[in-house]
Amino acid sequence: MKVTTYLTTLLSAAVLLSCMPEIDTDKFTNYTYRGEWGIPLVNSRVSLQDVLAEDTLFTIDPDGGLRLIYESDSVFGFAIDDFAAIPGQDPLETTVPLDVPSLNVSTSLGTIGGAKFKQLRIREGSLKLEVDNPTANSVDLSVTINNADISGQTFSINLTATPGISSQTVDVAGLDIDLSNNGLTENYLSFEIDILSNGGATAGQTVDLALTYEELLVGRAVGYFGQRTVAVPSGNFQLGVEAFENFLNGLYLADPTIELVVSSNVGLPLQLDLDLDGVSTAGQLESLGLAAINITGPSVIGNYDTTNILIDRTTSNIVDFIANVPNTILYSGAGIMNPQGETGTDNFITADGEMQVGLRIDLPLALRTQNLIFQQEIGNLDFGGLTEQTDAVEELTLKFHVENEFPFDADMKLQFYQNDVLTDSVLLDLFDAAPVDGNGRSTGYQITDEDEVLSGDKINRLLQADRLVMTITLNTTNNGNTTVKLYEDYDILVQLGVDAKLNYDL
Amino acid sequence: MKKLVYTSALSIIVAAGAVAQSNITQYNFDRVGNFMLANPAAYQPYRAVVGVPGISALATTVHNPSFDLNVALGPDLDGQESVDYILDNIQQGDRLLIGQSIDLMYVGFRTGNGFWSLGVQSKTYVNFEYPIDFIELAVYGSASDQVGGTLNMKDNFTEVNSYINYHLGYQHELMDGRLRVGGRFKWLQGVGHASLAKSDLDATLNSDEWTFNTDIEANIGAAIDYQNTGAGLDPMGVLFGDNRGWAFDLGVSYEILPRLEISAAATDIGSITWKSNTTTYRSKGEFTWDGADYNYGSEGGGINGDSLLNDIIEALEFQETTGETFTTSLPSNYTIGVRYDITRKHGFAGTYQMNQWRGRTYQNFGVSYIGNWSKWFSFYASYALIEGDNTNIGVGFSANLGPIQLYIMTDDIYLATGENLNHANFRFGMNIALYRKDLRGYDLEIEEVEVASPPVQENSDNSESQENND
Repeated sequence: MKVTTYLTTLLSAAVLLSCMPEIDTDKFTNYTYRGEWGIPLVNSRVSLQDVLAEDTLFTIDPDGGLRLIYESDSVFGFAIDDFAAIPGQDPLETTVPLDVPSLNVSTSLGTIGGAKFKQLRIREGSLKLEVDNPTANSVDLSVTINNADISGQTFSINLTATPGISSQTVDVAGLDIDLSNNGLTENYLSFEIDILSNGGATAGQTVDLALTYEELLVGRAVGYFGQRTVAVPSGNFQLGVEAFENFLNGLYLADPTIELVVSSNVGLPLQLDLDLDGVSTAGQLESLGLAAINITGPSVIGNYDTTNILIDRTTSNIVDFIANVPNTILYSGAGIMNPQGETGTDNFITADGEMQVGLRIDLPLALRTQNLIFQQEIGNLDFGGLTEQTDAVEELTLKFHVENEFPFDADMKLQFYQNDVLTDSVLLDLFDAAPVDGNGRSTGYQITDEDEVLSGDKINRLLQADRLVMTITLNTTNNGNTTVKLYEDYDILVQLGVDAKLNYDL
Repeated sequence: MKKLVYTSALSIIVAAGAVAQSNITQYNFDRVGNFMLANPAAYQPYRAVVGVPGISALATTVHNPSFDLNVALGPDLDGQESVDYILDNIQQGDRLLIGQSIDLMYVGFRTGNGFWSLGVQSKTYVNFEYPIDFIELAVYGSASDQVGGTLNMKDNFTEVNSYINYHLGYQHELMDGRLRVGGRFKWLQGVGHASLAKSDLDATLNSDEWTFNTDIEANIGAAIDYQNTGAGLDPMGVLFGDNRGWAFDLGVSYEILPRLEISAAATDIGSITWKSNTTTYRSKGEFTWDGADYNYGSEGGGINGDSLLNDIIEALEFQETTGETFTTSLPSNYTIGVRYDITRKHGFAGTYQMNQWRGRTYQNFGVSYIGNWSKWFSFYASYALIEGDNTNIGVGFSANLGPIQLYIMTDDIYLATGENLNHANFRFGMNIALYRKDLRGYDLEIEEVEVASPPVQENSDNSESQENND
């Protein structure tokens, strides 16, 4: 075998190995995907039991009917300073002759609203004593409050008045004052001033004494507290019914009630003019429209009196108030103390005096809905590469299958949003109301199958959407004119599938 | 489950090249010592062979009998036509096999009438059986006429396997060399594995619900903690870890008449038991996917392709179990051959090979020309039917340049012409090889010049003289 033979053989092999096949992988980059898919997208069964599990406000009646109860022991309240306030006092000024052993002076407690106190306990406050001594020597005085004591001890204070003006302030917290002057009058204040040392003053010489109660707060009071207006502290509270959060309006309940519960240990009649306004998620305001409420309070010190005021469709605007589906309730108003004026019965209040106003909203879910709006957003939509091409989906059919046990029928408006701009929408007759018996109870499921075929432009706008807003309008049986009842065992199945024919360039 | 997919994909990339499931060529090419692994009783022409570490024997195979990659990937068809061509040609049970083997070390030496061989070999292969229904689902969609809303897969055999083979073999010549018997023990060290042990799935796919009836079991095993990528690579864990197994080869060759030899070999009879870093995913039962659940109180999260795919996979309720032991068998080969040497330089052979793996049988048959044209150069050619593919013409060369042996061969020369890419196979390597003194068919004194060096230049007289010696 010659070398040339070997070389020829090897060369031939090399030539063969150099003939590698021609490969065109770019052709797949122009591939148009034309798959046809039928895909179930959403399967959601919601029962009222699911709602109940999430929402503690629902209770179940013995017959399985649902009732929504919101309770708050204290929405707002009043305390002792609201009812028994003492305004700033004028000074009691007297000239004290230095050549007598003592003298008595009296005055009246300044009050507001014509209040006439018979007994007071000072919770906080002070007594300011100011002396103008024109003599050349110091003078020693003792000031005693005649009709007051602290824990049984007569309140007395000594002071030395140096020549010129001097003053002293003493704490009078805990001071019990009998302002009735032994049952003869009200608001009576009396002082005794003893001259302990006149500093060698000659006859006719005097000092000027001014006594002023400052910043008195009442710890206990008996008497007539006057007729005046106290403001209800304005505020709001969230109703916190999650089931209502996405409803907008149109929820007409047959027998809603609100019970106001006023608990008070203040012996004081009060006429309460209360404003309760409900604000829906959409910001719509509806007033409850309450009449004035009269509260009498307890007749014996230390007792609590509870007043229950039932608000229903006959005494208020509660049906429309609830139909607005309030999410937030605003409260404000005013109370008139002693609305009948002075009746001869003493008012009283103690340091722990309070008047708390709570409420109990009781909504038996016997209702009718007329165009009750439910809204739900589906965000974070991402259709992936389908959004990069127009006409990437040739045909698209949304297929709804609904098994509904609720006595509502529903129409749905599905709105497509792109960058918060509404680009398109579709309307669907989503499901029909389940039939009801004479008691308004559903007797079975109503099955609805609805297909919505989307056109090319609509498909493109749907695929471009980054957010869908689903607005469902609910009407009870008979177009919202029949009152139905909701029971915990109601549920609804919503299935959404799609049939899609793609025309997508890879 | 995703890990299984990712691991499989990664392994396919790693393999990128193959273990020869067809051994038609190497079975008869006895001038390459490493090919003794195809038949432990194959004639060994050497006193000693030492493989150059790492490049002693490299083999790569891509086998795709159902369609021609050249047509599918070539420029004559557009993308749509290529996809249609593929789908028109693949049948249930068709597979894509990708494999690679590397002899990290190989040594063989003669002792009297015996020949010892030992070595370390790395093997990786991917056997991917086309899940036709899945492919049609992906291409046409569930609502297409082609798919018709149903999906059926049963007993799909897909496996990725990588292991290290530490082998020791011995061959003995009897009856003055007319009978040779050989055997080899292989201690196997598993490196990585992923397979579908069970893969039964029936599905009905409608737009209101997808229902599945499954009996699926997928196994993963690895020498490294693949779930903890920060753990770092432990070489000893890879080379001598807990994923162990063994296998053996047996072979016999007998010269029934002068120059007429028959042989038989059984190789890779064994298995690997995977114990470390194992994870098993199971799904068995009836499952339904009827859309994403939007329960009361949910945030109304997004819908997108990824979440849908995840939800559908979750609907199959795969149970993940770690630490389970499982055993995988090797693809075993049973080969019989007959060879007739017309002269000492030219011979022909017929070979039948049966490859058995997980209950499947793949059959290959080939006829070969063996041209040991001189001690320093051999040429080989074959024609083979490989798994029904009849377009496999193989060629190979080996050159012994003194003690340095180089070889290169392929089972399918059409790979080079680019006319047919059903089967792509390529082997090459480099050894230090010293011929035995009693090389079959050669007289040492006559061939002394050839053994010493390749002919660099010969005059016509010398050439004539050598031809006369044939």
